[in-house]
This record gives sequence, C-alpha cells and structure tokens, in this order.
Amino acid sequence: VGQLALTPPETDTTEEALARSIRGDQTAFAEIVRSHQARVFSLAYHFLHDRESAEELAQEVFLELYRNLPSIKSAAHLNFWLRKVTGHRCIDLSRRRKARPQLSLDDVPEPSAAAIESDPLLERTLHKMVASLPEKPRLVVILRYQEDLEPVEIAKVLNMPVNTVKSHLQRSLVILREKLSRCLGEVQA
Amino acid sequence: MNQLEEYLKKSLRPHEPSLDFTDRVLARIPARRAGKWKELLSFLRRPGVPLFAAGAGVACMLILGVFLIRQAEPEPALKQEHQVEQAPPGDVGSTQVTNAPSGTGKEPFMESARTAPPRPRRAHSRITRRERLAKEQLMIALQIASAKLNEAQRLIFDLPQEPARGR
Repeated sequence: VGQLALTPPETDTTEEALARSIRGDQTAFAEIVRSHQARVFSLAYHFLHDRESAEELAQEVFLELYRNLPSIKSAAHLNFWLRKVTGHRCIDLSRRRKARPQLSLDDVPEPSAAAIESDPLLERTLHKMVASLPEKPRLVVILRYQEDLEPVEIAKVLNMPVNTVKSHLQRSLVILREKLSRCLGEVQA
Repeated sequence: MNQLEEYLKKSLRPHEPSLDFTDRVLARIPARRAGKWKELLSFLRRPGVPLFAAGAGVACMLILGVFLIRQAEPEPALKQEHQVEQAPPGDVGSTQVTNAPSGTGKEPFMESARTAPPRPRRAHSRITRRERLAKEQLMIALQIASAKLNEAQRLIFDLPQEPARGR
C-alpha cells in the first residue's frame, strides 16, 4: 500500500477530503469521486469495452466506497482499494456475461491505412485487442499501462503471485504483438 | 519500453465519464436512512464509551424489558385460582365441605382445573400455589377434626362413672 505513492499536494487534498467524508461531509465525498472517477471509469471501460456498463460499474464502486469509508486509512489506501474493488467487480461482471457473445480477435476490424503515431484508428484497434484478452491477463495489462503499476503492485492489487503477473504480462504482449503485426505489417519488438 | 508498449499506453489512457457522473453517484447514496443510523450510532457511541459497552447496554435493556413484560402479563389460570382464594368466607365447615377435594358438591377449584385447557408444567409458581391451597384446606380440615376429637374426648372423660348394676 505504501508503494502506491501520490504527489504530496494531491495526497494532502485527498487525505483532508477523506477525513471530512468519514465525518459525513457529502461535499468532500463528491471531491473524492471527481478526483478518482476518471481512473475508476477508465479501468472499467478498458476492461468491459462498453461505456454504459463501465459507468454503471464505476458508480457501484463509489457507492461501495461510501459504505466502507471508515475502513479507508489514507489516500494511498484509497487508491489501492479503488483499483482492487474495480478489478474484482470487472472480473465478476465479465463472468456473469459469459453467456453473451464475446468480442474475438478475428472480429477486430483491420486498419485500412498505415499506422502513424497517435492514430485514433490504431488506438481503437489496440483497445479492442486488449478487450478480447482473457479476464486476468486483460486486467494485468490495463493496470500496467493505464495505471502505470509495477508487477509487484499489480500482484498486491489482484492478490496473485508476482510471477503470475509477469507471465500474464509477457503472454499478453506476445499475443498483442502478433496480432498487431498482422494488422500493421511491422511493430518493433 | 518498446513501441507496442507505447501504443498500449496511448490506447489505455484514462477517459472521463459523463459530466453528471458525480451527481448520479451522490443521488444514489441513501442519505436519509444512513443519516438515521448514524444519529442512533452517535447517540450510543458517546465519547469514551466503547462500542461493545453500548451494545451490552442495549442488550441488557432489551432483556429487562422482556422480563418486565412477562411479569406484567396476567395468567388466566392464576387469576382463577386467585378468585378461589378470594371467595367470600362463609361457614368454615361448609367452606371446607365445598372446597374439599373429596367433596361431591360444587367444587370451584376442581371445576376450573377440569375446564381449563391442559397446559405444560413449566410454571413452578403455579404448582406451588395449588399445593399451598391444598395445604391450607388440609390444615383447616385437621383443625376441625381435632376440635371434634377434643370435644368427643372431653365428653367421654367428663361422663360420670355409672355404678355397676347388681342383680
């Protein structure tokens, strides 16, 4: 938990808002929601690849946070808690949706033009490729590249061995590289 | 970091949810109910009073309340027995005849016991009360019998000795 450090001013603001929220100040809780909503929503959105479901899930996470406010010890703990609960909720929702048809890598439309930096089409393609990964590797990739977490931190959030995290990460990168190279012709290793 | 990882970082950059996201979260917070519970908890959790002590206090109050309610409840059988006890005293002898278990006439206590629905023998005080009633009746019966015997003895000893009749 201690490794998930924030910049000091942000930490101070969050700590203060957290203390006021625990005392029942809803304005302070709204501040917390505003400062963390992008992170929570994006985790869900990248995982589910569905904006509406991601918003619904993010709202549920914040409602659960409201119920568990007294158990949150610090700003770092809040970040850890939000990542952990969002990740678990994403996996739960994904498992409940097993009956629904899932997006396959073959269904991803191939880009019609050559890839250039910050190409929205490439980003969209890659986003869909990530969404087509299996649940746990997908969450590992999202936590690694959206949240910029190290494998050790991911292991703590997902409560799994570090080596498993590393193996998920390597395997996912191989799959994505392979597929992307098929789409774009060449991606540097 | 290779090119793929850079692509991934760009692709997985954070997105903002809809503008009214925070308002919708706040609207879903059950404010009133939570407020009431918080008020109750804050009432119980005075400064310096641990939560388990407050809980123990509430539990004691509940137990005491249930006990008092049970004590205050009138029991039908007891009421009937009480009526028997409070019956207007008439002639001691006739009362005994009336209330005696072996009597053949009207017996209020026995009749009430006969007409009352069968109840499990769980109230120890109810049994003691019946026993006490029977004991009181027995004592009065013994007193009457004793008085009669004394009277008979007195008559026997007070009889003048009759001289033996000769032929």
